[in-house]
Amino acid sequence: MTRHRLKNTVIMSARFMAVFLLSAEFSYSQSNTSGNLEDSICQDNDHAIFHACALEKASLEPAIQTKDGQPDFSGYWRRRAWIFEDLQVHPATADDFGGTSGIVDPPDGRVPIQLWAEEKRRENTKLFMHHNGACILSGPAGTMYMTSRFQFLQDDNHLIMVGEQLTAHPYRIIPLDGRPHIGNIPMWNGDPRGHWEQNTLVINSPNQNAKYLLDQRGRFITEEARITERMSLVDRNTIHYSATFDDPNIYTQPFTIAFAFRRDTDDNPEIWEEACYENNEDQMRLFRNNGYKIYPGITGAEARQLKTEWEQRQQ
Amino acid sequence: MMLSQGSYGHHSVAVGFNMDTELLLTGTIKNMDFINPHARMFFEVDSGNHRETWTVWFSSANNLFRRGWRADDLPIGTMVTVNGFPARDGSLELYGGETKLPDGRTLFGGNRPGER
Repeated sequence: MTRHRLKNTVIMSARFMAVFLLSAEFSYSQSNTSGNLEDSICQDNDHAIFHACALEKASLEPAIQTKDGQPDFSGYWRRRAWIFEDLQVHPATADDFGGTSGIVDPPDGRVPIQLWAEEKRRENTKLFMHHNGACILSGPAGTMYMTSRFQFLQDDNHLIMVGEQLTAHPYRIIPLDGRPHIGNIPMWNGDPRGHWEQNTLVINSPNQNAKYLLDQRGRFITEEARITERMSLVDRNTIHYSATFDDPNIYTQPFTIAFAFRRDTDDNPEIWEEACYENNEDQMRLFRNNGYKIYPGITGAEARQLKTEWEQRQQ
Repeated sequence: MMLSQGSYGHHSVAVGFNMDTELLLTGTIKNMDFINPHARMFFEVDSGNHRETWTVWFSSANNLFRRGWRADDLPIGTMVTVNGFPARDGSLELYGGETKLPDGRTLFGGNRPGER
């Protein structure tokens, strides 16, 4: 039994592989590597194209309806975006699946981040491990694009989202019956309430604590951010999902992400337990040994203070 | 052997593992954790004058199970060859890659697109 340490001249390094991938035609798969997916009337491997197609295909007649005529989102779904890596366009590497920008507004696909906050973002990538490594929840919208497998259950008064993969069974319960928000109790996934605007479910989730990163590039919000999500059925097998982040502490304007959920037709799409904490402490040791800490979040007041200090340094 | 399929970690693999290089190790399986969020294999490498116990991190047990792996596919005492990215802190750990079994089967232990 021997140990082979391949030297740099022998190993095809991941860096070379990344360069190779960048120099090749930028492409990514919409294939059934995500499980068995039903066909969709809108391609989903370019989020801006999908968003435009979904808006165009929107109709007053939902493809599947509840007995009250509302869109019925029930079933097993797979999210079709890897924007938890980077909200913006990014190539495939050894560490990233890659993809087009998940940002559909502004139309340039770039996060409209303030200059001081862009510096903070870069610092975040050097200081903090992604919260998901610590089995921490990802916030109302983050849950939707980090978790890859979902079961949605819907009745007249609730949309319940049960997820597998990431953050120890993320779940969301969205009341649809007009009840008021709980109140000023900060929660990781906020305090959601949903209402119908024609055939679109609109979800508002105040009282989120913003102690999570929006992606692996260190992007962030404060607890004062307003997050508005929209869901509609493009066809029987495709959900159009979007989320608008409005946080004037961090961004120059609100920005919107959008992507598809496709119906999962695997023989057994059942959502399983995936306890996140059986050995994640061991892996966190590896992160901590490299100087990474768990992201602590930033409040609106802290953000305003940091901005003031940054502006003073520019003078 | 190149890690031609990515790792696509839900928390970024590069934070803990050096993805600029790969190691290829051969050793004997000592134990297997078929668990979540990451399955792990512990195997002993004979470096000539001493033995080292290495840990290989895989995707979740759920992903491996769906991919056709079973907990007894990697029984204790089996000699395997593993490639993966080494831990940045110098510990004897890899983010794996492919595990080659004596019967010629190769099991990919990382995350596939769509699994994360």
